[in-house]
Parts: sequence; C-alpha cells; structure tokens
Amino acid sequence: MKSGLTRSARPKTDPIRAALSWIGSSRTATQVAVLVGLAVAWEIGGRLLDFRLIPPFSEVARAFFNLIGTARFQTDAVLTTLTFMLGFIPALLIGIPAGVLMGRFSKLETILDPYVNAAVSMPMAALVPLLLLVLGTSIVTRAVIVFLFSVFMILIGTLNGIKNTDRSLIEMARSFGARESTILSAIAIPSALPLILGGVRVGIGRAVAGAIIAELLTGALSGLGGRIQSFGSTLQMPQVYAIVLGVTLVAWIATEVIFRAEARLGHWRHA
Amino acid sequence: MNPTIPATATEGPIGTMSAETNAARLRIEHVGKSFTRGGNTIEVLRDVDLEIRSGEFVALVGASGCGKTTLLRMVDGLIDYDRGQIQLSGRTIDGPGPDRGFVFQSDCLLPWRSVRDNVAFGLKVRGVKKSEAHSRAAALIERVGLAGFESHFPHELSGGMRQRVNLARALAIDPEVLLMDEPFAALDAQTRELMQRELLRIWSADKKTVMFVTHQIDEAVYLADRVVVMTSRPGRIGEIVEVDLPRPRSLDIKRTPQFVGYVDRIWHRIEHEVEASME
Repeated sequence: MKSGLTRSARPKTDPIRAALSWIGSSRTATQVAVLVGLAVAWEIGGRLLDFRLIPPFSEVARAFFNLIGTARFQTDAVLTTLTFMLGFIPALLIGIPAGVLMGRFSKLETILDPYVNAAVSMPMAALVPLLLLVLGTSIVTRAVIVFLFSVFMILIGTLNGIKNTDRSLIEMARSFGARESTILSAIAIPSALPLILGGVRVGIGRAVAGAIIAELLTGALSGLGGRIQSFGSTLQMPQVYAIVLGVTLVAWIATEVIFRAEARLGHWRHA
Repeated sequence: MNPTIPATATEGPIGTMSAETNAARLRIEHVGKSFTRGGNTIEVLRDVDLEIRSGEFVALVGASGCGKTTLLRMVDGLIDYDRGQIQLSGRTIDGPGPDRGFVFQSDCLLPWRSVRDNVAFGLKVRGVKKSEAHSRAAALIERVGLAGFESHFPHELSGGMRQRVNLARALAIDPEVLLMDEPFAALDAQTRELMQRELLRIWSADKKTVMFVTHQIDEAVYLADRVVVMTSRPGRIGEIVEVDLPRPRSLDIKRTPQFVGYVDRIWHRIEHEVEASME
C-alpha cells in the first residue's frame, strides 16, 4: 500500500494511471476497487429505479450504521454468533477427524462415501420441520442446522486432502519404521492441510448462511435471521440489506483470514 | 552414536563398524516372488541367491522389469517375499528396521520441512530426542556437503542437493546396510557423475554395506565391488561380475580400457533383454 502511494506521488507519472496500475497489482486493492464500483452501480441503479425493494446503497449504509449502535442489534449479533459457534465448532471437531479416517482407511471411504455425497446435495432446509419436532425451537435446533450445513464441506475437503497424500512419502515413512499415528501426524495431515483449510473456508460460508437460514426457518424472533424476518415483513428493505451485507462482510473476513493462513502454511509449495 | 539400542545382542558387536570382511552381512537365499494382477500371476523373482559381505558395495543392473527394485524393497521390508529367506547379520527380515537405510529414487523429501528436519526424520520416528536428532542431522548435512543449507526447504534445492539430503537422511539412522534405488536416475549427466564421485567419497568414510540398484551400467561398474546382472521374466541373477578396479576411483577411470571392458561385458549380457523390453 505504501509503495503504491509513493509511486503515484512521484513526479512525471500520470497519477490516475499509477493508481490504476497499483489497483491492478495488489490483490486487496483490486478487490476494494471492484467493491467500490459495485456500491456506486448499486447507488445509481437504486436511485434510477426508485423501487422500494431495491433502495440505493447510501440508504442501506445509513441503516447499517444506525443499526449497529443499537443494543437490540448487538444482542441479535451475539445470539447468531453463538448459534454459529455451537454448530460450526462441532462440525470442525467431527468433519476433520472423519475426513482423515475416511482418507486413510479405504474401506471406511467405500462404505460412507455415497452418503457423504448424498448429504452434500440434500436440501437441508427440508429437514427443519423434523428437527423442530424432535428438538423444539431452541438454539440447539439452529446449531444442528449450522452443523449440517457445514460439516460435509469440511469432511470432503479433508478427505480429498488426505487421499491426495503422495504415496511415496508414506512409503518413505514406513521404511523408517513409522507407525500409522506418525504417518498421519507427520505425513498425511501436513500434506492435506491446504485442502483441509479449503474445506474449512467453504464450511464457514455455509455455516454462516446456515445460521441465518436456521433463524428464518425456525421462526426465531431474535438473532439476525429473526431481525431480517421482522424487517422484511414490514418492507424495511434498507435494514434487511444492511444485515445481509453485514453478515456477508463478517463471513468474508473470516474466510479471508483462513485464505491467508492457507497461503502462509503452504509456502513450501512454491519457489 | 547409534540412536537405537538393539533389544538382544546377536553375534558380533552391533553399532560399531565391523572390521571382519568375510562375515556375510546380507544373505538372500532362494528368494521368489509372484504378483497377482487381474487374475494373472506374474513371477517377478525366481530363486535369487546373493550374499553381500560386510562393507561391500554391490550394484544391481538389468533391463526394466527384471525385479531389481522389487528385490531391494524386499530387503528393506517394504514388500514381502513368497519363498526363501533374507537375513541381515543372522536376523531374518520381516519388515522395515533401523538396520537398513533406504535412499529413494524420487527423493521423497517432505516439502514442508527444512533440510535439517528432513535429515532428522528417521531419528524422530525412532523417538530420538530433538536436540540429539538435530546435532546428528547437522553432522550428516556437513558430511554430504550441504553445510549452510540446514534451514532451506526442498523446493529451494537443486536435484543433486535434494539427493544429498535423501542420502543424509538414510545415513542419519546409522544403518548397517544402505539400500539405494536409482538415486541419480533423474539427474542430468554432469550432476550424476559428480554425485557418483560424492557417493564414493562419503561411503569410503565408514564403508557401509551398500546395495545399489541402477539401470546405468557405467554407474554400476564405477561404484561397485561387484555388479549383479539380473535377467528378466522371471527376474533372476544372470551373472555376478567382480569389478577389480583400484580404489579410490576418480571419474577418469571411466575412460580406461579395463573399465570399458567391464561395461561392454555387462552390456552384452543384457543387450537382447533391454531391446526386448523396449518393444
């Protein structure tokens, strides 16, 4: 960022061109530029359309900043975060070990693979009535939905990572007398780490969506999903978009953190 | 400093370099092996008999598919044999052990670990303390000529350097026998020659027993005391050639008539098989 600014400040360089080249060269700058472009397009589109369901971006932004200051919103955000954690942490704790075991023991994979693949395409929302019947409208129901939304993504990422382990490395470890536990901890898991984190990244997105959908579908009155519901039913669209965008932003930051961790841990893959 | 303590003492001291030359260290007796693939049984090795003396450097050559790598992996304990017996200093081999160090064809370095950690891998697997493993790794890295590269990662090294790490890792566990599976096959011609000379320099320091598989006849003759020529379908020992060339050997020896004579003789022994395997 700094280098880009100093470069554009240098004399004899067209500042616009310099700024554009900096935006093109930095990943973050490119992303921010596209985001600003989208916001501007939204603003113009919203004003031109003058349609209640699509308010201009500035109204959404104003609604967002008004909302985040309220105690009600903060309580809802905490509640939704809690739902997310209660579903996502078990998804990690079960998805990763299950993926590792399926990846190392082909018998297990043969048996379970069809179900995992089926579970990914299964419409989880259809299970909600059943869950409501069994577990009631408590936070547990919502956490289970978050879990179901994310666990299979994490499992499949881990499974693929473990299965992709270079077999000659495993043989090398065996030659040095490594037992299965060492092969897992020293060979298979480190080698699978980029794909495991890839699964976690996709899983976060799915879990966030799952948390909101769970609140919408279980008729929760609180939580961010509940707020979307109540704002939506009274057509307070700027507030609806504000919450949706806010949640998306947080989820994006979380996946970006994982993405960076992935890149850092995978430094050995590139020269 | 042998990191492993033998459970029971067999004949002779273990962990010290044996000066006795006629005690057979590695004994392969009537070993046979068949693979079944898609309902067809293929006999890979038939009745292989070979004794490798302590401190001897033996090279195995032969056309592709003669079973030389299979035999090497059996000695390492990575694959079972169906018939016969393989013994190392009187102990029957039934799996990998710290008395054998394997140098792999594709270097098999862990790309996410530094040179130091790769060399120490075998020691850590055996539960050697980290500090001890690292000091031993440092000594081996020095010995294979990679001092200063301890913290480098494999992707930062050339093919020749990676094979040095591969060799250091096998030597780090202080094995009685070094098993080498075409370790220089993927290197360019010049690097390969230099690595051959390097290997002899490193080997001459403590003269471990070496079983070296290669498809390059001149490499086998240059390195070995004896060259075992294997024939195919099923894999058998065709001939054993004693290489009576003085040591230490410089690379210039490859241009002597005596050297060329050995290469020619071995080549003629397997020529028709190499041609057959190319069809």
